[in-house]
Amino acid sequence: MLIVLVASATPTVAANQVADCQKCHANPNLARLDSSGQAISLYVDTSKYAASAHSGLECVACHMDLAQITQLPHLPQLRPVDCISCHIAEGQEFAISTHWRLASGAHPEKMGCATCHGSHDILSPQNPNSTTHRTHLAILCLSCHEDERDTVSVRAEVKAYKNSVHGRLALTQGDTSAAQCVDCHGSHRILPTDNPNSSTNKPHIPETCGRCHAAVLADYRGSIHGKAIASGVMDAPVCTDCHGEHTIEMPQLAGSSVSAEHIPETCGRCHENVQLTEKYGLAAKRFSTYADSYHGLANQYGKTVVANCASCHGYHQILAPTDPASTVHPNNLAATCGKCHPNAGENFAKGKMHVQATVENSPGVFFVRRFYYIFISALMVLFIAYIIIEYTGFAKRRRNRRGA
Amino acid sequence: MPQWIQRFTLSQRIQHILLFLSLLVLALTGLSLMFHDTALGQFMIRLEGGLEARGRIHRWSAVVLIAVAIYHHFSILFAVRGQKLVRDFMLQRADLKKVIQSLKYISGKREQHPDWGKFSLFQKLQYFGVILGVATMIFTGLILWIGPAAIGLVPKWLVDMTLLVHGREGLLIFLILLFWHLYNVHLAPGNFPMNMSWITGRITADECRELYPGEYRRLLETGEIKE
Repeated sequence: MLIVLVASATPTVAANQVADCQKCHANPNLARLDSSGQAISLYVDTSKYAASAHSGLECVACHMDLAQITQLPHLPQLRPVDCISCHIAEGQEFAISTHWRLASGAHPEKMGCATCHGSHDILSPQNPNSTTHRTHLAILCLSCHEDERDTVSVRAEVKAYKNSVHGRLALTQGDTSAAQCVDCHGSHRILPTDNPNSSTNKPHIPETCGRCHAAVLADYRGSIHGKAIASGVMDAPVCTDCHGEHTIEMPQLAGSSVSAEHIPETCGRCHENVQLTEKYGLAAKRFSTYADSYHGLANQYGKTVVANCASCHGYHQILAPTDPASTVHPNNLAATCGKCHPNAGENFAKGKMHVQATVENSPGVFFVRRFYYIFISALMVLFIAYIIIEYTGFAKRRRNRRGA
Repeated sequence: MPQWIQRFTLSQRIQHILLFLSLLVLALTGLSLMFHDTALGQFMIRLEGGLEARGRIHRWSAVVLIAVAIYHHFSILFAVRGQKLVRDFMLQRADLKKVIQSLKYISGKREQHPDWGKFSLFQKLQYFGVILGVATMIFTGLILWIGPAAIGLVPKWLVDMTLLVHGREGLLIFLILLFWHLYNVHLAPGNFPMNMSWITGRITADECRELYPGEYRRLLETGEIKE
């Protein structure tokens, strides 16, 4: 049963020590009614508080408005605890975050420091039992973001994350170095991706991933894609454009967007895109011309040993073919092809690789193709004409014979 | 009892059967690859046991085709009846005039076929067309067969060109056989459901007199047939 506090209880001296407060608050049934008549527990577990990160502090260190009280029980309505008065740096970060809007707005009960960190039982993130310890962090975020009732539910992303390489390592294998929500999105200063200051905003993604994948970031920054992003060309890909975000998977696994099976489509999303190839003057139809080649065809039929885009062009360090350092620069082609075809000499490189044949770039192929097209078409027209003439002639002769 | 005229030897009929069976399989396996980006092409590739099995079937059929081609060339060079076959196929100046007459016949402006010898000009052209087409296919096909090894020997553009010619020439041959040869031997007036001479190797003297009057006269003169 509940003990509802009434104002006429016995007055005593000021309560300055935890023990004083716990005279009442150690009672598990202690509660008050809010304006809608709902019971709100006022119970504080003494042993949990003693084990918490704040155990050395008195209650009034946080519940500062109780420092001045002269009689007990005190007024039921206290000011909210102001964590930032001590945790100033975190407070500054939190104040620009998207969670702050909820905490400071209409639903402070849904989102505040305590939502993630807990209150009287608060533990340091280094403590393995803490809700914010790396072993529990993902589950902590999911406790809201996987909730169907949540207006900002990102269930699809969460589900994808759980199946991703990061999610599997973090959640099922307990690998604390694997990326969790906060590693990419930030913790206190979390911002929506469309905010230019967000760590998941497109131009910031390479740094964000690079915090763990430093060597890859260095390679990427030197690549044509990395340079384009650095110079503000936002159509160029960052990590997530090829690898996916929450769906990210190891390239060795077939399901990955950058697996040998899927790389051609992944690169093709841009390099087959007419708008992009025209806008930046790139060679058109890079995917379909590849798909039509020996390599492309074998790849489609599951022979992952054949060359895909990355086999020849590289991936993070990819460079324009006109760059002398590029693996597909004419001077380096013999070596690049030679990785799989040891007998491919300089001679072999004399030709075009997966281009759309036009008069300018491949006149030979273009004219031979045109010749067969015209020749076959003309022949078919002649054959069909012949068949029609033969049958009308046949009918005519028969009529003549009957008439005769 | 009609008088029969032997038109094709047993060897020639067997060559023809091996030729068209191999060409049929080559066309199906080749065209399915050429049209691999269509649903029908993909269905055909599955039917042929996948991409690699398709390739193996294609190359084994090519072996049959090459064997027939080699055999045929030996026979027309060294065998008496083979040499006669080539003589019958040789183009003659008089054929040109007969083409006009033939066109008049098929369009109904003439009652008789022109005075063809054993083969009409259309048949002669078809014969040399097959020789030329098969030679092209075998030559380009062998380059592609060498495949990865070929890229060490020839420049990439030549491999591209070879592949292009192999595909387009194959399509051309397939369409000629479909719209010309199969039409003529199955659907042309008087040949439905089919001209049996590819199996029996013979035609009646009456057919010969109507279709190949020159040949008929020659056979009368040599006494091989009677009036």
